[in-house]
Amino acid sequence: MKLSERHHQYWRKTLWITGVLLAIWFVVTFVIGFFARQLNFNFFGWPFSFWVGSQGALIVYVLIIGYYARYMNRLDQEYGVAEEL
Amino acid sequence: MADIATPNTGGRGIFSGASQASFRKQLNKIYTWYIGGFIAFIVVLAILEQLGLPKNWIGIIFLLATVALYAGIGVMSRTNDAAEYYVAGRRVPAMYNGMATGADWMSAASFIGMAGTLYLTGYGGLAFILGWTGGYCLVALFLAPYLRKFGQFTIPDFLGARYEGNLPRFLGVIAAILCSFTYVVAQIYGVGLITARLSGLAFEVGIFVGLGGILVCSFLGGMRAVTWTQVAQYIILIVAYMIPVVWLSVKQTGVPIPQAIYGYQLEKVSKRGDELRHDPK
Repeated sequence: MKLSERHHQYWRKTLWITGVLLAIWFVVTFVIGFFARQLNFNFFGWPFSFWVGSQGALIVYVLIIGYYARYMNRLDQEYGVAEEL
Repeated sequence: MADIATPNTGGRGIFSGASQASFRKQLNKIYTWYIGGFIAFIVVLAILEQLGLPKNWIGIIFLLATVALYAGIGVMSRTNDAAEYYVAGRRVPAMYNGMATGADWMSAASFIGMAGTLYLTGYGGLAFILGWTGGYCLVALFLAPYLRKFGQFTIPDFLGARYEGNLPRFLGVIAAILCSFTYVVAQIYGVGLITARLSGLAFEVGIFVGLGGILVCSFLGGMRAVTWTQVAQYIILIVAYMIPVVWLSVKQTGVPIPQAIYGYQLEKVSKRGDELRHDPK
């Protein structure tokens, strides 16, 4: 199959959203994990870094996946590559 | 190969439906009945307990009913269609798929092991939580959409086709075995413990009884059976997880949302821990 300019545009947008979401994922998972000792201030009773590990990060993960699914569904429809149900 | 990859909507059994919408409607109906049955079952057992049914009988009834239920779903979901067997026909509604995945998340290992791990190791133990939840993000961003569009069934297949060669496929196989082996060891240990606890069998026998149950549930229907048993499990699990912690939370703090309040309890626990550690005796 020959790829048209539109296909390339679609793929660029896919890469862009993947990159942005992955960056958020990385910050939440590794950057906060790395600076866990410094981020030890009290957050509603939890040490902040502990709260991120036990709840905050998980909420962000769910948001990432939900946003990605929504965005890609729209993008698929816009570029006519969605599967029909 | 093309005919294998196309979704087959004409599967057999109670889970087949003409279109996606009626399929979903039928699912909603089935699981509403299921929840009703679950509540009725609990009520009947509670009444029987009040009437003086011995404890080990209750354990055995619970175990047998659970295995019978999952085996029933497994048998009803039996299929000989490859797409149904490997990927549940690629038409599980998102909500139900989320429930099935959630049931995997709340598995035996996390139920039995996680509280203790966190208590013993503190912040370090959260690596498990971050790892197996954050991993879903990587799967969602890098693997799942492409695997679905690719139209085959396994990750090694996908890697082999995408990167054209047997080395990527082999790496995929190694990774799959490594992950499932670690996971399955913990799960099977949990299955053995639970079976032994509820039935009074020896641990070694309990493992095989539990494994037999798993085999019956998944062998005939593959992913289709696994998905629908997982959804059924999810409904039980979420209740079983929530009731004790909500109860505990109300008893200790008066707030019925443990997620919002347990930070303060944690503070008290660590203060008490420090006191005990510095106790001269």
